[in-house]
Amino acid sequence: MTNLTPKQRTMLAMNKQEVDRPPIFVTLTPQAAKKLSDHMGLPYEEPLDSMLSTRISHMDLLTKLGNDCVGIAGCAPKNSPTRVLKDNILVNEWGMKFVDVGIYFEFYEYPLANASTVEDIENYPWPDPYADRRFDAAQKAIDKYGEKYAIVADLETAFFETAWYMVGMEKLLMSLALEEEYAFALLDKIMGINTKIGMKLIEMGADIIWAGDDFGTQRGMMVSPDMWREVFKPRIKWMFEQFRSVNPDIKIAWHSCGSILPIIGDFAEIGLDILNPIQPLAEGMTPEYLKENHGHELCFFGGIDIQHLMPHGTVEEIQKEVKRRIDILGEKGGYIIAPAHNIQDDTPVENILAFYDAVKNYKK
Amino acid sequence: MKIDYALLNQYVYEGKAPKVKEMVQEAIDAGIPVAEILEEGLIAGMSVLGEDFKHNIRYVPEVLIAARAMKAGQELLKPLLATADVKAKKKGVIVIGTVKGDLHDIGKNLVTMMAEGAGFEVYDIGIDKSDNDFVEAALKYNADIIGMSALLTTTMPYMKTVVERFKAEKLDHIKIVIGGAPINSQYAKDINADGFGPDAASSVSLFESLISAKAS
Ligand code: B12
Repeated sequence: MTNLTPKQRTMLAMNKQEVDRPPIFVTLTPQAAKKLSDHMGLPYEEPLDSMLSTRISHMDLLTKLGNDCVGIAGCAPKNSPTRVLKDNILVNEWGMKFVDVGIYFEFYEYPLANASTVEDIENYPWPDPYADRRFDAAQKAIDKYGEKYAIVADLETAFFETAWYMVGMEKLLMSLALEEEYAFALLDKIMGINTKIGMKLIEMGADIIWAGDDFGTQRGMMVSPDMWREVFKPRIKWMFEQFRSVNPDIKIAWHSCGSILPIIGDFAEIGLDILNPIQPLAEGMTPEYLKENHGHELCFFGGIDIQHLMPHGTVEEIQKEVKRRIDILGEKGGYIIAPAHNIQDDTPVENILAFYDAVKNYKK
Repeated sequence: MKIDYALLNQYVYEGKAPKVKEMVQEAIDAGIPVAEILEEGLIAGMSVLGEDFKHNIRYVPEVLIAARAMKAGQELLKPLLATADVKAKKKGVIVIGTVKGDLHDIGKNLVTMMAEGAGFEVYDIGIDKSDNDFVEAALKYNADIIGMSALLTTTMPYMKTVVERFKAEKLDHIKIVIGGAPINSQYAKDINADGFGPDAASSVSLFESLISAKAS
């Protein structure tokens, strides 16, 4: 078992086979990547042009550190790259405008902020999922890493989040509560585009598709379980069916931050394989509960706290927590260990290295 | 004429803006004191919702539409509340914002809505706000309380900068309250803030206790 390639380790674990140690999939913000590259004496790799750039960038650095998975995604196509408009304002191919405030980008303008009818949605110039060069970077990554590493096709912000990036979060949440027709048309439009992108990435050879939208907050669900079951569950089920129509063996992961206890069973029911990111400090998301109640139907991916442990914990605390998580979530396989989100600028290099060491040196 | 406040409360709770407007207008036309309509009709409905939100019985979308309904009712009352003979109790002035580098604003907005719903005068200065922004707004609006929100471990240390700035400016009479996913009461103590609000309803109670402590 010691000679497993990262890809074998990942896929065995995701088939609930026992492995030497859980596979790793860390992702970084650009600032954290810069610090680590400097530390390792490696050139800094610029982020790729995609809404999901943190999940698919810095892969040279991350595989050298010990990641077993490599992320790919659809990128901005040749004819509409993200552009700088003026000052610090950027616009992407969806028409979303962001302002660069230093360590992060923030929303500046929502392109469909005034949408109110189904026609407003239909008439909008939406991105073409198959636009020229959209999949070039993904193909390059597959050629470079695909044999040895598990390829994870990222499709977070599957449709709920992308929808509110188009109209604003409060507007979308209110429109859903008031059952305004345009809102459902918007969800369906975006879901159609992103599902096609996901299907293409699966066709290209992804081992895992990592879709997602945040339905949780620190203290519980963002929308009611009832609304989730009515609006989101059937749509997500449909997406999963499309993915499986391309490759029946594809492993499907879903990312939702926060505490989402009421709907985890629903996810398993519609065919989810892997739950991410198990945000440890969100209420109720304890590893014991999850493994005991959902371990038979789901694998887990994530579980390492970035709200306290990674930025502020000591090396010893990280070692202890990594072992505890693996003992529980990794029992009999079924676990990809990862921080509960991109590692942020506030996390010392020392702590990141301690995380990798602790996983690699894991002993029962 | 007697106003069915239970029904009006329910319409606020359910976010039925047209119904709320209709009932508030009826009450005004019937000559009911505006302070009473506000307290018994609108604030009472919103405070039930605040409790239910805290306990995960109602969620963000329902709070948003209820706040909108409440606002529709308040708009009708506002011109009347401003006239001299009706002296509704003004609870206090709050300036609220999300700190520098951070764009998370749903929590801050809900706190704003609930505090407005409870009768506070709230000025929401938005996201990505510096110590200067907070100080300027505090002076401009003559604030009793400053509310700061941060959802990120990378942005929460900035709250300390703001607290220190208020001390340096000798604005000690203004209370500073903080909240957001990574924040707890220990952190509030550590940076010398005056309080921590874990959720919107508790935050409103906290504002109320700070104001009454100040008054006595
Ligand atoms: C929605 C969300 C987003 C949205 C924000 C949209 C918006 N307009 O707000 C988007 C997608 C844009 C986003 C972006 C990012 N996010 Co985010 N996001 C979340 C999420 C899922 C929910 C937050 C939320 O809206 N909650 C709902 C509200 C109602 O709750 P609340 O904010 O906690 O507010 C309540 C209380 O805290 C309190 N309160 C709040 N403010 C105040 C203020 C006062 C004065 C008082 C008294 C009380 C109070 O009352 C509120 C009402 O009850 C959280 C998950 C989580 N666990 O919280 C992650 C989370 C906060 N995000 C996270 C991250 C990492 C990011 C990014 C940095 C991602 C990246 N690039 O790497 C960016 C940051 C961009 C930026 N410049 O800020 C991490 C932070 C980790 C950390 N180390 O701190 C979290 C915890 C997710 C995770 N898996 O770890 N995010």
